[in-house]
Amino acid sequence: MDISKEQVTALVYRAVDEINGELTPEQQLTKNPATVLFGTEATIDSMGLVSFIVAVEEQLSEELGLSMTLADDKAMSMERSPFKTLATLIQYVQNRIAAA
Amino acid sequence: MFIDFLEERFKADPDADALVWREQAFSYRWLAERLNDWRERLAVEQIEPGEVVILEADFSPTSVALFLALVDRGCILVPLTSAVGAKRDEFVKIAQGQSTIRVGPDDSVAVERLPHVADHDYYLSLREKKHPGLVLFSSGSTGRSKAAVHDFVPLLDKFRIPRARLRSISFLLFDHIGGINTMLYMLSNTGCLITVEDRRPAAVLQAVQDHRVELLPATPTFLNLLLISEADRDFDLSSLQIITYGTEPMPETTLKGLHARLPNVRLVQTYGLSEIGILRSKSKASDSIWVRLGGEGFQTRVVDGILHVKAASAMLGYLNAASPFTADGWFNTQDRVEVDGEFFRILGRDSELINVGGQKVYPAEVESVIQVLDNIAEVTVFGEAHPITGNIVCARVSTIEPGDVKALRKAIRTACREQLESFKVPVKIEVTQEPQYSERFKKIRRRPTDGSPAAGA
Repeated sequence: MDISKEQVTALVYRAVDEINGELTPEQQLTKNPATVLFGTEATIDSMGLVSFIVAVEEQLSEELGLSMTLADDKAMSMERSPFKTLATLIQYVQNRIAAA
Repeated sequence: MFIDFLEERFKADPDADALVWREQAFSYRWLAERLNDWRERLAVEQIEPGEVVILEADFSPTSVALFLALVDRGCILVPLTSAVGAKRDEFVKIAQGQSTIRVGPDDSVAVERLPHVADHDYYLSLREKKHPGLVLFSSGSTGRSKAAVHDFVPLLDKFRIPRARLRSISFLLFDHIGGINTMLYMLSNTGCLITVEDRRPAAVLQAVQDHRVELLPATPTFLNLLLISEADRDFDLSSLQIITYGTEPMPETTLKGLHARLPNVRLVQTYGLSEIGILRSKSKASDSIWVRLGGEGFQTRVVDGILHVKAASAMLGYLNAASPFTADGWFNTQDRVEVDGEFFRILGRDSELINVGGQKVYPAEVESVIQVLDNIAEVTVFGEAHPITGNIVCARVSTIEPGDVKALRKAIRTACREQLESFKVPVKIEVTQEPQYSERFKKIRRRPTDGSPAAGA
């Protein structure tokens, strides 16, 4: 499926809105490609990350009718983790949509 | 000869109702006569002592008489109901059934010989002792069904002590340890077994009202459906004294809701397994999930948080799996419990536990929070593998009315976050209109893609 980076970014940001509704003020994610999702600089813990990834999956399913698991063993074994920042996640989601 | 004590009680009370089937009552005199008829018929059919007989039936006048006749003849009895579904042929093969007796929906009987050789060691030992046997298929909800072989003589022992005479619904099925326990309890106290074919709340409560039922043995899933349907408001339930519940963990919210709705009914938790029989139990209170377990013939102990039971009525072993007993005869129930003095709180099967990043989540605890939210009919919580945290908590909910899925998800997560630790909050929430229980009124815990619904124990 062809999709622009802007469209993917907008979709991922809508998932950020969703998850922010469930996070405490200190945990809020900023809609900025540089936002760190995982590691010591991240505002969310591993449970928050897992929930955010599922929120993106739900957005993909609702908006594009695509049912996919983003966090699979393949994603986890990539040399650069796709879950490091919003930028890497957006790139990864775009690649997965293109391959779908 | 094995059921002499039952027949003596039948004779002492011949006019009492033994059974109500399709609105018709059958007395103990009738049952005693049919039992004799079946003794003769089994001899004519050359069904011999020690033979493995599959009895395919639901509770009916004929199936009860046949059950007793087969036990008395010393046969090894394998009851099966239609709830086993597609597993029927596999179960017959595992049990090495030598003949099958099928009781049809009209109570007619068909006997068929089967080609299997029944030479399992447990069968040989039963024949050596000249004892009747019973084979029960245990839970398939978390794996392969196992066939538990019992010596019927110790199973009968606990029914020798006379107890209160009650009128009870036969809710649990004919091939389930709980269903067989209810039947033997009623027969041994010349109580009355009210059979139902439709096990949905309205039909069951209709039978309670029409037949002045005193005891309703049920499952938490059924009781939850009863609460949602509010069927209790439509019937006169003044005869009802006791509701027992077992076979799966009881969500505390369902129990408290039920107690509020039916304050005059005593709510009693039961505990039993195909492998060890039914323990005697006493709930701390009607609205308490804490329960005292034991009774004559049962000892309990807790090892690393898991309940172990030593039972005089324990099975000999499995036909199709290694013996689960320790060298000194204890059975590991796999049920994780909390202990408070002499009371236990059953948290759930260890195999159903969800391990999220090393932290333990019991589905029942999460279900209990979600169950009471608006528009929730049923909820099943289960784990799904996840590469980041090992597993994640997932919830499948069915709603009473269709509605906004996004808003529902949010309401569920918010309620769970307020009441539970963050790792227990469901990450994935599936919303469906489909019912989530098996024919046995027990939650189906396996994912729908994993094959047929669980047989349940």
